[in-house]
Parts: sequence; C-alpha cells; structure tokens
Amino acid sequence: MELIPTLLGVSLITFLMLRFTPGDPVKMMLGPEATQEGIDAKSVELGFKKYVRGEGSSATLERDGAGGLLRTTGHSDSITSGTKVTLHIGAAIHPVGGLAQRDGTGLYFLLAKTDLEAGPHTVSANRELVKQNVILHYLQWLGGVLRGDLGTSLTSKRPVWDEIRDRMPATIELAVASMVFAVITGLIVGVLSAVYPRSLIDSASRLFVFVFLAMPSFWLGLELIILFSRKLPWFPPAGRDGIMSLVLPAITLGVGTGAFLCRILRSSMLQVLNLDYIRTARAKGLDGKRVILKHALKNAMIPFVTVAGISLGALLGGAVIVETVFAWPGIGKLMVDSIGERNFPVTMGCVLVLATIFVLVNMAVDMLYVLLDPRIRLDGGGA
Amino acid sequence: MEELREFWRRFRRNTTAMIGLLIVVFLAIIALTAPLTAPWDAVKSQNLMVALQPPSLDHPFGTDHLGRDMLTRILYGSQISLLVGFLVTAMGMVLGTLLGLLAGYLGGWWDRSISRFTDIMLAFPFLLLAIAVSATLGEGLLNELERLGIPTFSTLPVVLALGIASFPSYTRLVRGCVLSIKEEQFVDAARALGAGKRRIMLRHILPNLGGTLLVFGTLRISTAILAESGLSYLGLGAKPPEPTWGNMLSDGREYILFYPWIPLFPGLAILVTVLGFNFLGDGLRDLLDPHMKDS
Repeated sequence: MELIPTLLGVSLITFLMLRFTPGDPVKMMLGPEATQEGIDAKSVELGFKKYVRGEGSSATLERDGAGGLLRTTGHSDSITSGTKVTLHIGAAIHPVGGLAQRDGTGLYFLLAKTDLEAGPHTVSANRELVKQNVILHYLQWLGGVLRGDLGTSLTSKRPVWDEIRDRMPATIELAVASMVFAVITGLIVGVLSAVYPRSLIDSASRLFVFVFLAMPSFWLGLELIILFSRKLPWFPPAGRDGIMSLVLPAITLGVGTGAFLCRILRSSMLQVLNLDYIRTARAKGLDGKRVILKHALKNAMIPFVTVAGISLGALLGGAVIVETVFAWPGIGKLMVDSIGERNFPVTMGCVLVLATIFVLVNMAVDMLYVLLDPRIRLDGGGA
Repeated sequence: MEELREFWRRFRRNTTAMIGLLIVVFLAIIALTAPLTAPWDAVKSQNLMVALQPPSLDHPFGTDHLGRDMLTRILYGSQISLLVGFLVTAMGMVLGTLLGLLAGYLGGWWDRSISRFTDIMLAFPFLLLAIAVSATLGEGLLNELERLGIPTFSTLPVVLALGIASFPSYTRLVRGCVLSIKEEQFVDAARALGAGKRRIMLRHILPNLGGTLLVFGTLRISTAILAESGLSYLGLGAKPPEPTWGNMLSDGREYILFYPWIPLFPGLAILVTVLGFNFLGDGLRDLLDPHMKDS
C-alpha cells in the first residue's frame, strides 16, 4: 500500500464527508442566529461557494423618494430570489441594500438610498453566489492542508492545527500508556495460558479475553471511576494532572487490546512450543523457563508485534470515547466537543490527523515486520 | 436436510456455540416482547417522585434521575441494539460482498479501483470513521428526509454511518475468498458450459462464501452493537428520551457516578449481548471454517 495515494485518499474521503453533509453545512455550523450575510461570507471562506460575474442586462430605475426600485431584464435563471448581488452600473460598483427578488418578468432590487437617476440604465455585470465546483473546492482545501492550514476553529477563532497540536501530547501519552498496559497484560496472561494449556489459569485467561473484548470501554471507565475514585479515593476521576490521572484512562483504553494480544500470543506460542527446535532445546537440558522465555517467546513475537501495531487503530478510535469519559484533554475529546458545537473544521481536522497517524504507524509496522521475520530474507535468498 | 441435521448435531455438542445461541435467542425474545413484559409503561414519561431509587421489588433495576424504571428502559433498549446490529450487518454484508465479488472475479480495472477504495476506507480507524460519518450525516440527513416527506427512524444515521464504516472489511474478506474459489474446477466447468459472469458469481461462487460470511457476520454484529452503544454514549445515536443502552450511560451524567445501579445494568446488558454474539460466532467458526481459527 503506497503511502502518498493512501493519504490523498484519506484526505478526499474526509473532505467529501464535510462537503456532502446533508442540508447546508455552513448554516448548521453557524447555528440558527446566523445572518444570511454571515453564512455567505463563511461559505466563500470555506470554499463551498464563490462569486461569479453574471452577464450584462438592461435595467430601469423607478425612483421613489431617496430609494427606488431597479427592474432588470435578461438575467439568467441562476440568480434566484434571495441571492446577494452587487450591481455594476457603468464603471462603478453599486452595492444593493436588499437581496434580489424574482417575479414573472425578471429580477428587481429595492434600493434603500441611491443617487442614480430614474429611468433606463445598463447594468454591465452582476456578482452572484454559486456553489463551487467539487474538484476545485477539494484542491483549494487540499492546498491549505498541505501548507498546514486546516482552517479556523469556529468557537476559539484559532487555527485548527494549533488546537490539535496543543492536544497532541495528551493523546500520545494516553495511547502509549494504554499500549504499554496492553502489551504487558497480553504478554503475562498469554504466556501463562500457553505454558499451562487447559489449566485453571488458561480457563481464567479465556474468560478474561472474552469479557474484556465484549466490554464497552466507556462503561468500564465509569465503573473504574466509581470503584477507584469514588469508593476508594486512589485516582482522580477526570482531567490530566500527573501520572496518577493517567492510570484509569490507560487501563480503560488498553484492556481490550490486551485481551486481544493475549489471545494472539497464546495461539502462536502453542504453535511454536510444538515445533522441533523447542523439543531439541529441552532435550539439550535447558530448563523450562529459559526455553519458554528465550526461544519460544522470541519466535512467537512476530504476530504479536504485527497485531499490536494494527491495534493502534482501534486504540486511536477508542481514545475518542475514553478521553470523553475521563475529560482527558486530547484530540479525541477535542473532536467530540467540536461535534457538539458543530465546529466542523475542527472535527475534520481531528479525523484527518488521527487517520494520518494510523496510516503512518501501519507503515512502520509493515517495515518492522520485514525486519523481524528472517524467513522473508531467507526466501529472497532462495533457501 | 440431512446436512442440516448433521450440522445441528455438531452444533449442539459445541458448548460455546450453544451458550451464544441461547443468549441471542433470549435477547431476541426480550426485544420482541418488550411491550408485554416491561413492568412499567413509563419509558419516556417522568415521575420525579420516585427518582433515583435503588433496586427494589417495584423497580428491580432501580430508577434513574427522572424516575424512569431502569428495567423497562433496558428491555426497550434491546430493540434498538439488536435492530441496529442486524441492519448494519446486513448493509455492510450486501454492499461489501457485492464489491468483493466484482473485484475478485472480474479482476483488472474493477479489482484495482475497488481494492484501492477499500484500502483507503480501511485506513481510517473503524470507530473514528463511524463517529465522523454520523457527526456530518446525523441531524442534516433526518431534516432533509423530513423536508422531502420520506419516512425515517431515529437510528437511521447511526445505521448508515456504521454500515459505511463496516462494508470495506467484508469487501477485503470476500475478494480474498473469491480469488481462491475462482481457481477451483467447478468454476472452470461452469464457464466451459457457457455460464455468464453474473451467473458464475451469484450461483456458483456466492453460495461457497456462505459459511465464511455467516461466521464473519455474526462476529461483526457484536462489533456493530458495541459501536452503536459508543455512538449513543457520545450523543450521536438515537436521541433521549428514546432509551438506548448507550445513552442510558450518559443521560443524567451528573447522577451516574453517585448512584451505581444506574450505570451497572445497561453496561451489563451490552456486555452480555456482545458476549452472546461473540460466543455464537466463535462456535460457528470452529464448526464451519477451521482455517479461520484464532485469526
């Protein structure tokens, strides 16, 4: 899987989600209090719409005191009632107070105050707001993304990239801590159940795997807060304040991956333990512990490492929920808050950044896999 | 018929599969009979006089911060969980299998473009994609459909979001299987007899995918149910007062930590449901598809 096309694809999907939000996404972002002018300006800023010049037409102004009614004919149907238009009359740009209205004969504009004389005029050009072409919109957006411009947060008015960068250390800290917890749990439980298959330990570890793979992380998080933060005040229930505050979120996020890793390690260890060279090592008189840890575990680690890398995707996705449960100030929390506020530029920025991290880690795992597995090199040498 | 009977004989001897099947059947009965068995009919209406009561004979699972009976809400919540689980799996399976068949059997341009698209969709973490799609699709879709006068239901955005996030894994699975099945002799035979591409795909290859799809689909139902509860917890699922197991864990957030029976029972309901489908799927895998074991 080549890196660049994949990342471009990821950016395209992310963009399409925003562009094809049902209804008017800009209107949804700005909320019910937004004015039409505000929505128009934001639509142009975000590239949803753009101004184009309409063709010329003739107009007649009917004066009525300071203002008047300007009737034009010959406009294309693409200017509908409610379109914001600036009239170009002669050489001057003539801003219109109200919006264009359309009736049976053509367009008319109500002018609040004008120094134009009553009678016929030539309206040389109009500007109208139309939907931007999807491809141009994507290229405009992608150009910004490549320059590190993910847009501006609607709530804080700060660049989206700055918001995400501020939250990145918290998410990386949580992801790394969860992964460490998952790997340690997976190793200990996996090795124990492979070394004593069909024992009580093995049955208990099977139960552990089934239960923690089926447990929703947010529920586990709530129960851990109730037990170890309220009943027994050992850990803070929320926030990011030192190593103690990391314990509960890391366990919550990591335990599912730990269960999965344990299952993988058990089956690959059982395979390896039945191979000839382990029996040889035992026959040579090496003691059991040494055989298991040095010889068997090393060779059972390849699928373990691969799966650990792939699990990072589930971890990044799960972080969105776990960060919300523990009010952990990471990218996931930022994303969920932004969804509630319809702060779509931030939401899409978070999606793009998290997916990109996932793609890069997967690539790194692929490379690690080639390094770890000597058979790939042996095959290449024709052995 | 004889084959089915033989399969059932083997199925009954598989403890994991049987436990899973019993749980799933039990849940299906609960969901279908919720209106009859629920002890209280107050799913949505509030009664603050009995708010936050611990479990008792009147309210076996206690009441929440609005005085609603937790057992009743959990029984009704099973309808949404199971419905979403089945609809998402159906949508993912139909769409994913179709694309996988086209990519695997037709090859060439079809394979390149479908596989590329699948790879890109799988480059998103599953839950992240589902959250993003339901965040953008959510409200807008329901409003638009309402405006057009098309009947909707409150979980439609969740179903679509999870369906979209699900189908690529089916596509990858089916494509792989089709690539090996199409080398089999019976496919050559069908081609030699003059069967067209569509007929070979649908009548000869598709039936051979049945076992694999049944196993994978069963396991993916639990993924869908787990993800639905997560989206509901984040407020992206069916909106309160409609009871889902996920939003019962976030609705009245300030009370949840202080009245432990409120989070206990909805959480257990999710756990048991997901366990049920996982047991059933694992058992079916042992019976139908020994190669997939522990993968």
